[in-house]
Amino acid sequence: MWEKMIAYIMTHGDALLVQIGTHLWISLAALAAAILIGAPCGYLAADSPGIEKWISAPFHVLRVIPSLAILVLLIPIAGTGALPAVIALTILAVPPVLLNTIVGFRDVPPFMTESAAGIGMTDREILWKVRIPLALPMIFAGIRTALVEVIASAALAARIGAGGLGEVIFTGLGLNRMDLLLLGGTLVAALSLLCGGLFDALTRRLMPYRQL
Amino acid sequence: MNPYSEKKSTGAVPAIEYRNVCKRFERTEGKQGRGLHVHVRKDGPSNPGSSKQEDGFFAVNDLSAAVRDGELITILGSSGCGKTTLLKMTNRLYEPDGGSILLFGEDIQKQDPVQLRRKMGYVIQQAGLFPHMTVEDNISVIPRLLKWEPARCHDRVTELLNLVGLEPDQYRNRYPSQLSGGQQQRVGLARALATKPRVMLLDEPFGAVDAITRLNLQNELLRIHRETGGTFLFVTHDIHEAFRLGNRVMIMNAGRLLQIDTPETIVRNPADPFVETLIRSALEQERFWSSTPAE
Repeated sequence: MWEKMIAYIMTHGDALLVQIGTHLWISLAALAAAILIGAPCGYLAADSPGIEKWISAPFHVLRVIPSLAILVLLIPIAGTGALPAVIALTILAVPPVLLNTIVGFRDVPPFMTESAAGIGMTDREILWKVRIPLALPMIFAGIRTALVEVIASAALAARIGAGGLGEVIFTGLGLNRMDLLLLGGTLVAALSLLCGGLFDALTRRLMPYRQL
Repeated sequence: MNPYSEKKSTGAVPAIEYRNVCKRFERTEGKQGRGLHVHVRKDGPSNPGSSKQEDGFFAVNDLSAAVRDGELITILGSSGCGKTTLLKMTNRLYEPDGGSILLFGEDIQKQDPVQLRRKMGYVIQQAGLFPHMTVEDNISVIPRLLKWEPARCHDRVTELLNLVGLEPDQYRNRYPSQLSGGQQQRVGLARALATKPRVMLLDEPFGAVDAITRLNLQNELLRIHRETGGTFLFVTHDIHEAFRLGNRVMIMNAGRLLQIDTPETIVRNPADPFVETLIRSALEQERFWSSTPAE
């Protein structure tokens, strides 16, 4: 088994690198989209429970649908390839970002914003200098969850021709080759762990006060 | 009529003048009429004791008083008496429902709230330091927003840390979580003093620190008041603190101002049965301490 896996890496090394690259960019594109959608929506929802219902509900419904089903359902709309894959993964990644953003903003103690207002900060300054920094650890935790989830799920993207490490897995499934299944699975897991670790390092870098 | 004005009308404009100030909070739904647990909207204190009217109550009721420039006034009352509400109306965190507040003769309603607050220092019980900023950044928040030169900010932080009794180079780069409660209050005080405000509003700043630290902080506050010469409004529910610190003490109950006078005059001449009870209870405690002398 080991020899077979190593032999595959030797012969298909270039292809594997491309697949890892595709896998990463699909995942990161979806994550970026999820942050762009989830964080602002979360901020809006945190301030008014009325809006929250309308924002959270659709994503909760969408999340229940399995990613694979979403991928297939998207084919008539977005065709095949990377785009539907990114869309499906975005749908998967928005809820953790959104929910954590809401909780992050709600958890900022009222006395903190009041003391910021009391010393003479404008609403905008309070938002950027106090509320966002204080909500950030929570938001980052949501982004991390989304990141790991998206990288793991991006393997499905190969199903609709978007490429990525899923190709190795699906090839293994098709040919009934255990070594390819194992190799693909291991690489996806490793990639997910690595990105999670890198993200943790980034978090520590950005929020030194959290370590104290 | 007004409890303050009989003596010393020197003609100088008062630093702060309250004219018939009222603030009314609505009661929110639920537990109505149960008496003890009255829930009010999140911007109001929960207050079963205030004068009720229909579905709301007055947290501050027709209060008039004048604070002279350079005075240290303590505002004393039990929780829910409206003292914090009064303080928050002074820097427009709350808006009064009636009456007006003048700052050096100018109506604060006609001033921009942000500009107004930058002219006043504000310290709260929880200190309210920003946990993601170092001591230095906390203190220089407003100076930096006002686009002071970095060197000027740095010097001001050094000056302020010295003023509040913290070794500048030891503390400036710490985060609030690395400070004790008393130290956090000192930094909170320094932050409030950053732009040399003429008026300081202090809302039970020493309410959450232990007795010994509190005594030290009280002494520091008196020294800072002497050195800066500002007008200080200090809210507390501790009668000893109020009488020890205040040039004059304002006693409030159920939204009304009962008496404002020097501590000595209040003790000799309580203007109201409530004030009398308050003083008697303080003396009662005193008796315990003097009857069990420590070595």
